[in-house]
Amino acid sequence: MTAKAIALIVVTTLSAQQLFRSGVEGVVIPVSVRNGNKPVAGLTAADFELRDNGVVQELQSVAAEKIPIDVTVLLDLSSSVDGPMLQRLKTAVADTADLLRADDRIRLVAISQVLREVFSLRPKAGAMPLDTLSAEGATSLYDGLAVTMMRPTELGRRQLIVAFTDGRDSTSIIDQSTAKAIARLTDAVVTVVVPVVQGRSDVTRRLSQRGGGTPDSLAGAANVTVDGRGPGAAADGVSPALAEIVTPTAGQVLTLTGDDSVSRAFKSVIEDFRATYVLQYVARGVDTSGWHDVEVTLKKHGRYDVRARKGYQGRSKLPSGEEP
Amino acid sequence: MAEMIAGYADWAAGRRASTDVDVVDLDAARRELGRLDPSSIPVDPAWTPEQAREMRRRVLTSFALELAAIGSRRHASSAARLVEWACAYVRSHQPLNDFDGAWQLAALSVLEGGIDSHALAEHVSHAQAVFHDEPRLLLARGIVEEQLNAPSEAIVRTESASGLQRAREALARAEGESFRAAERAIARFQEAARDEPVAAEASLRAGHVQLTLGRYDAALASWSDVEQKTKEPALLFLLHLFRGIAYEGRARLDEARQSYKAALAVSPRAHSATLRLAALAFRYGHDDDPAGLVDALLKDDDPRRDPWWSYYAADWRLWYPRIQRVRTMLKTP
Repeated sequence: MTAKAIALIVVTTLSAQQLFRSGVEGVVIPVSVRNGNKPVAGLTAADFELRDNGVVQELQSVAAEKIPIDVTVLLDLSSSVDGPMLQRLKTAVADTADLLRADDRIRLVAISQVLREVFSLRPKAGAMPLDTLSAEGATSLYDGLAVTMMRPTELGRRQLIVAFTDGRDSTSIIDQSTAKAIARLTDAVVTVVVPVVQGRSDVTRRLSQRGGGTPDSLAGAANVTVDGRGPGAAADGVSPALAEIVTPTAGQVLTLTGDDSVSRAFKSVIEDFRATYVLQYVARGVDTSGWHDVEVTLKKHGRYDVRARKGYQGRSKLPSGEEP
Repeated sequence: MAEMIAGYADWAAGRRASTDVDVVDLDAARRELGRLDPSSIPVDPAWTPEQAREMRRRVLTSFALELAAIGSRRHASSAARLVEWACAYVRSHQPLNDFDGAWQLAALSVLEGGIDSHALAEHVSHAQAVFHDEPRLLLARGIVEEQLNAPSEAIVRTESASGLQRAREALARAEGESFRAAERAIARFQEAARDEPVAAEASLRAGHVQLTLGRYDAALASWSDVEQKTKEPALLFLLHLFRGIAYEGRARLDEARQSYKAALAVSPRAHSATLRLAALAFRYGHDDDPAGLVDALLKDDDPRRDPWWSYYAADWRLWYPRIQRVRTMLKTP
């Protein structure tokens, strides 16, 4: 479903099946509310305040628990994950499929310097061709994120992209700023799981273009990534650009340390996604065209972590050169 | 090692149909080659002692280059050390002959393919002293500077090495070295662009560096006559791709779209141009179907079709014809 202007049903009682029908112009904003590590359940429209370009909107909230989901698993299968990590990733994909319900679907996209759909959207049933996965080459991370974010969500479903990467990009043609612009427009919620660098042996390798391969960004010198850290890299080595890409989608960056379970991290992402609320409204008091900033707050008192989509594109096409 | 190099010599001379060349540790291979007695390399008994000595020199240095090429992607520094070990052997030969020139060009392919700016700089400086008039070396001076800013993944598996890398990078940024390297690259590419055999590629690269600096108009100006100077598909593809990005930067979206389509006409289904075209359509609502474009892209994972994937590796794209030329010179003195 999209955060752009969309057609959806606006009725008093909303079920998963009814959610995205009818012809009323409306907006859907996914919202995750957590208290510490736990999702907060039982909230209603009255608990939220949503401002669309600064104007408070009348909400209808839906617990999205019953809406079928499409999970796109995006795996960085460059040389940097070769070895035990590759096996952990295969296991994590299989474990993630096991978490799905009968009407949910999963697909797997592999990133090295080349992007490849290992299998397209499919129900959890049936064997997945995971044995063929191998890790080799450099990383087109932004390309991979862009490709998956540009694929539309089918009506009546929700889309989650779970990416696993070491955070290094060396071969993308899509630069950071373009990836961020696409993230602002995507239907999907994007969460990235990043292992933090651990010291192990004394081997140094350098991966880059060739037989595949290219730059971190065409924005050039300022984006050179070494040891996974470009300018302004966070202390844990995770590029701040990743956070800037996922935040507008209501997603997040999760870090793994040491031998943290990838499967457990993916499970947490799925559970968090299922527990998100979907806030729906028909925009009133604002121009329907152009970019809309959306701000969601919780009226209840307490220490809540509220993550919501940051905005959407209105009905009209962007004029040349206007960002998103 | 002696057995492997003997097999290589026989294969190159046409005395056997195939040979296996495999290497695990390029530094160990270099040390073994250094200890090798050249007289153990088989030659045609009909050759004179002088011819046999020359052919053993060729086989030894060519074999080193083949090993370096195999390992250069993951172990660029070790590959560069191996090339330099052999290069000294090649340069010491006087007078220079055709083999020496062919070997130097093949070596340039390996070193540029390794994307190790410092190693390439070292090689270019001493190779240019010997081969003054080689235009690819003139171009390589710019590539040295451009590769300094080439994004890459340096996977460092010790905390101390990791810290040292970060400190070096931070220092380079703080001192503006990346920016200065880009400026030097532009100047050197512009200089090389006056040399006809490499003029098109030099202009293309000068424009690309301008593009990375956000100087879209300067980039477009650099590319104004590239199409008239080359018919090489890889260069033409990159020209259209980069033009598209520059046009996007100047908000000339229709021209950007046409440029990406022109790139795809040169190399159909290339990932880079397909992805830029899809992103343009997704962001600005052009008629192209972004979902259809990316669906097709994900089903097509042939990596040979996209020249973008070897842009920074520069002369690596010329490795096979160059090493083939070297191999032909191993047949007869």
